Amino acid sequence: MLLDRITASDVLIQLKTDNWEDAIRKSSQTLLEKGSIESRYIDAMIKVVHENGPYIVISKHIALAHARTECGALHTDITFATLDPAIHFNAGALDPVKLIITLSATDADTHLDLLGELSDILMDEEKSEALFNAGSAEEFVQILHSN
Amino acid sequence: MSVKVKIQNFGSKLSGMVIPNLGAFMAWGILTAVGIAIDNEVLRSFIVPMLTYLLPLLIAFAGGNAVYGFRGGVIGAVATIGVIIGSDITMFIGAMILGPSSAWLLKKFDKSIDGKIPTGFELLINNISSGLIGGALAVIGYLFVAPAISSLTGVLAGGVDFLVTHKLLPLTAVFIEPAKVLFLNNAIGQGILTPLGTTQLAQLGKSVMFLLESNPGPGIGVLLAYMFFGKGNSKATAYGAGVIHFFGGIHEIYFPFVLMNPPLVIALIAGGASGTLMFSIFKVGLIGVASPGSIISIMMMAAEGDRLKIIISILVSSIVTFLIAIPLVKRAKNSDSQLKDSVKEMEKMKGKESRISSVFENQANTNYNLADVKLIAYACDAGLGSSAMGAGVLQKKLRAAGIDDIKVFHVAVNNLPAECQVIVSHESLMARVKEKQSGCYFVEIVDYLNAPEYEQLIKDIKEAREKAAD
Repeated sequence: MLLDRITASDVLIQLKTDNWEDAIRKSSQTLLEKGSIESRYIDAMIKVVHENGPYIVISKHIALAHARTECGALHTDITFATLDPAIHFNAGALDPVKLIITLSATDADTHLDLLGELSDILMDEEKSEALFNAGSAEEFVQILHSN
Repeated sequence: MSVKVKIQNFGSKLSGMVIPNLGAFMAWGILTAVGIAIDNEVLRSFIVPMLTYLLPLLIAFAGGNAVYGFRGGVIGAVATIGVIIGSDITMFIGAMILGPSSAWLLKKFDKSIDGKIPTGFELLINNISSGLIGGALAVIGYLFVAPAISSLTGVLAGGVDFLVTHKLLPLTAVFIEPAKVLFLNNAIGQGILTPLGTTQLAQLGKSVMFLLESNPGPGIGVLLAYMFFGKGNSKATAYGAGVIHFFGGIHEIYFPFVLMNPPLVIALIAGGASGTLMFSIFKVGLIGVASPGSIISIMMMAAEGDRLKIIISILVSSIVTFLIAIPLVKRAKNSDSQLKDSVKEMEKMKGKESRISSVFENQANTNYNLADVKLIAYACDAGLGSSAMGAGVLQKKLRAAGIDDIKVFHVAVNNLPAECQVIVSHESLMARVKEKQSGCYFVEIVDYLNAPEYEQLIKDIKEAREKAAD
């Protein structure tokens, strides 16, 4: 599963929400509707943050919401949601979060290439800025594929 | 550097050559044991070439690689082929000497011409210098190192001969056990003990000589110590090695365990000597050569009425070795990485509360030697999202910095392996990581993608390696 397989239906743009829990809930609806996760997976993603702190905020303005496989991941899949307004995750200097990537993985390795490609894009400040500000899902996907 | 640290250094260098190759030793042991047991021509044809060429060359490569990377490994193996060809005995000592030392020479040479090579010619010059120096070292190995090691065999054999003729049989262990570990067992077994035993056989109908070298007691004692008190890879391998050694009679399988922790020779000598003493007291013997030296073939060759006494003697020697080996194996745990000892000491002195205090943990970090790091664990809660991403980024950065021999893997905090060198994790997970592991090098990050800590870690590793190289 590589980045070029991501389509506009995997992307939510300018999601309206007012706290981080709700942000994770809303942004993971796509995975739920696609049948890639069970609903308890969403609770698990929120629970790990309560237990361990905001370690899912992986870089400035970006959160990688995920939980363990056994918490209800059905297929390896990934979806994206940009937030407007940006939401605080109590992640200090990395706040506020503008993009939530929701990952479900059924094993530890099949999605590694995808994450590798993704990190190349996210480390490029210009591109990640463009992702945060994308006006439509199509535009967002186009930036993802521009690599 | 204190003598203790120096010896530990030397020990960890030896184990660095042996441990990565344990799998090859196992493969050889299995092929040999099965090949002899079922008398299969195909399997038997592996025995000699693997022992003569593959295993010493692997050790030479690992030794060279530890000193000067892949290039050092290559020249180490090239130089070692010289001692292998120049001698009739298995050349593990030769490999352990020539592997690292030729890599060191090449490194000095590279340093001396550094900056003087015209751009574009680096690869050419590198290969030519490897070729010329490696070839020359191989010839030197053939002409000088191989005869020197062969004469060492002569000394050991002479010692055994002397003790036998002066009726000091138990003391032969002083020569036999170290000689075995250096893979000179056949030279002694077939060169001295078998002829002596055959003579006795004609006079007495049995001979104890056949038991001196084939006694599996000391070897199984060492392996038992690793099974119960070892750690990580060596502990796991000890089980299979024990079966191959004791029942398959392939003693060679336990030699690496001693080579990576040389003081264990003392345990072997004590066990061998007490076994031989028991043999002498019981006046037992075999009616022929027990080859391979497994408990089964020894029982088959035992003189009528001696079986139980032989088993008791073997048991005694294994228990003696086991008991002496325990503290030595336990101690080796701490010297696995050279400075873990002192880090642990420090933690002890500082008391329990230091575990919580990250200031002290950082101090532990400054004492950690990063030069030998080969594995970096990147931990997060689930072990598949953020840690996977961070691990990928760090791996890429290492590669970009020219460090190819370090592997970064991602893992859940709860699944952290027992042996870790460096652990990277997010600030908010670090407390859990430290609860699970101590004595590691910890890197705490906040930003998985752009952590400034990555650059610092890479810089520290490079500096540590340069320091270790000088």
